[in-house]
Amino acid sequence: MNPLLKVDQLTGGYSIGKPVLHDVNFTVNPGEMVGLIGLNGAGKSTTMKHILGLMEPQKGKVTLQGTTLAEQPENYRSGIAYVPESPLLYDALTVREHLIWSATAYGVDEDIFKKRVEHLAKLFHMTSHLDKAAQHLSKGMKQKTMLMCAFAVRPPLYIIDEPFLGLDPLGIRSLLQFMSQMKQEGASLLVSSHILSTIEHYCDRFVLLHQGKVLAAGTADELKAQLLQRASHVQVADRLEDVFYAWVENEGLDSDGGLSWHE
Amino acid sequence: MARVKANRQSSPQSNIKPLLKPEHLWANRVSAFWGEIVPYLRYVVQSGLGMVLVFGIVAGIALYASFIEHIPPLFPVRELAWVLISPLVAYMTIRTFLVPADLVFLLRQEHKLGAYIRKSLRYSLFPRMLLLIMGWVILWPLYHRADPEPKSFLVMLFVLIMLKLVALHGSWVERHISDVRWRFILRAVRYVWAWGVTACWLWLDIAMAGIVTGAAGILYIICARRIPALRFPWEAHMEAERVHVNRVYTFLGGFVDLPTMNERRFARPWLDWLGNRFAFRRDQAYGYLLTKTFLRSELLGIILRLVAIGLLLLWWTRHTMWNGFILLLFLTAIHAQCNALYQMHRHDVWRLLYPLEKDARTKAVLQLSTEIQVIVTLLLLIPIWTGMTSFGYRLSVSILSALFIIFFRLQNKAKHRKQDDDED
Repeated sequence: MNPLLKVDQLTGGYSIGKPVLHDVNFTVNPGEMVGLIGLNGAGKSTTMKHILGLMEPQKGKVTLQGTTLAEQPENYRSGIAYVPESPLLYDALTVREHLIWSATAYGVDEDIFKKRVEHLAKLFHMTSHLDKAAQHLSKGMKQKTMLMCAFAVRPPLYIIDEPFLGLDPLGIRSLLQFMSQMKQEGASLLVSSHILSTIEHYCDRFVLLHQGKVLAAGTADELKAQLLQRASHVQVADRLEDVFYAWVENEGLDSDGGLSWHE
Repeated sequence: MARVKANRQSSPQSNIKPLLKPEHLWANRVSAFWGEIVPYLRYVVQSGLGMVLVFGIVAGIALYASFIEHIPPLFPVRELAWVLISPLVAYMTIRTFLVPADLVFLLRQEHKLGAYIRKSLRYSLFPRMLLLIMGWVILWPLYHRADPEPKSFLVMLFVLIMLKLVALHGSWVERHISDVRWRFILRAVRYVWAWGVTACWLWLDIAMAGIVTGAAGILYIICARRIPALRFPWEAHMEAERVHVNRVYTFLGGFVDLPTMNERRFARPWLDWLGNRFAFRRDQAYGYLLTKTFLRSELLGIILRLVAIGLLLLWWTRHTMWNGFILLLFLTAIHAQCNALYQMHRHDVWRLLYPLEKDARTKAVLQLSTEIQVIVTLLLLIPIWTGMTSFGYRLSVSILSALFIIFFRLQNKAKHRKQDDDED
């Protein structure tokens, strides 16, 4: 199967000579959900920025459906919908207008758009908030608006940075439900999250980044097996989250991804 | 020595000190604000605005002096004074320089902020009072000569200062009202009151004007005080600061490339249809976004106010050949305001992420900017065409206006295409 997204030998960062990412390799196949995991500063957001074309690789390349951004910018962009960690909304626009703006930019037909929005608004409990100005929304509603904008345009790949931030339990359940539905319909998702317990059962594969390198990759079981070699006092039966924390503890890392001072 | 001084300035103690003493905090905040703004002012000066202003002032003084010598009989000086002085009496905004973080770090010191707020009131009142005094001083020669029963310069000056102090009090009370609707109503009352009392002092005799104004002022203050108010309106202060800083940056954005800030939003639902016509037309995606943003922005209000003043002046001069000059002056001013459109959504990440042509935004801004200028010109031409000037003159002014619009468009097209290319 040809991968939808291929990150190939990607080295990059904010300044030349000081790369944040080092030879990062992974793929996302059609109909697959991949979890990008790691501690703060591991390089998750930088990797996403390279995929989105917001940063230029210093080495290696990123291809979507076989082409790079430089080769076919409009096609490349049409293939991705991005949901940032913090909602980026326009104060002047209402929720509905944000959805129309996204749909217009992606060339979605008006009738199809109406059906999708009706469904999404019900799913995320946003029907009564569609005509509210973005500046009057709660943090969770802003995040839901961002998610709805992405899901209204139905591209082949969704890139979602920390999707659960600000969502209430009902919102998290609706999102997971919808992501599974999208996956079944053939879409791919690259999701970064700190909440491993939530995504463990939804992601097909994981990519664990550490200090800008892929430390381990594979299914939840494969990842556990790789981490067990580094943190031997945990069991295969443990949850991925427990194995991950055991590895963090074993390596003497703090939440910033560096060594704890007492180590 | 310099290094020692620099180290001292950046030490935690020196950073915390202003937070502990309100007087220091005020000085710190004012200098921080101006320290941020002053570097951009050179771009304003370099743009030629300074030269235009100086030229305008010199030409204005010459024209004014010549006009005073030949004031037409029955010149509506009271109406003119009313239109010029009333807004100067009414306009009052209070700057506090409070920032969102103060809600956390200064909340416990709220009771100690009296000195800080007194400085804020003095700082806010001084330039606005000066503007009012200047307005009266400039108007005085005309008023004195043209009014059949002019009042004494000093009496009117004293009265205007008193009225301004009441407006300051009203504005301060408004800031403390938590209910948005009441705040809006009281603000409207302040404007109606200011226009009303100014009219009293222009048309009534001193005794009657004093009685009416005094009674209205006392009634206004009593009414304002009866509305439920907050003890310290933190959020209202911060919102006012956000609006003010945004205005300053919008102005500076016309001269130098600055990231746009969150604009104040005016709903204006009756204008929604103007943006909706671009929905689901991919080639007009930015037309949709920009039109919606513009229709809810403060910029629309500024342009509408300019058009209203322009229409008023053109109506007065509709029979003279001054109207062509005024029309082109207003068209240029509106074109300058339209430059703010080029800053809208310029630094948005969605511009890079959405699958649209790289110059889609610039094309949409050019289209919107030209549409605004065409509509404004058509409106401003109405009084000119109803005047008694010759047909040839009116046609020439219309053609010249069209040429101005074409020139502005070509100039902006070249400038912003180059900017887009540079950004790529």
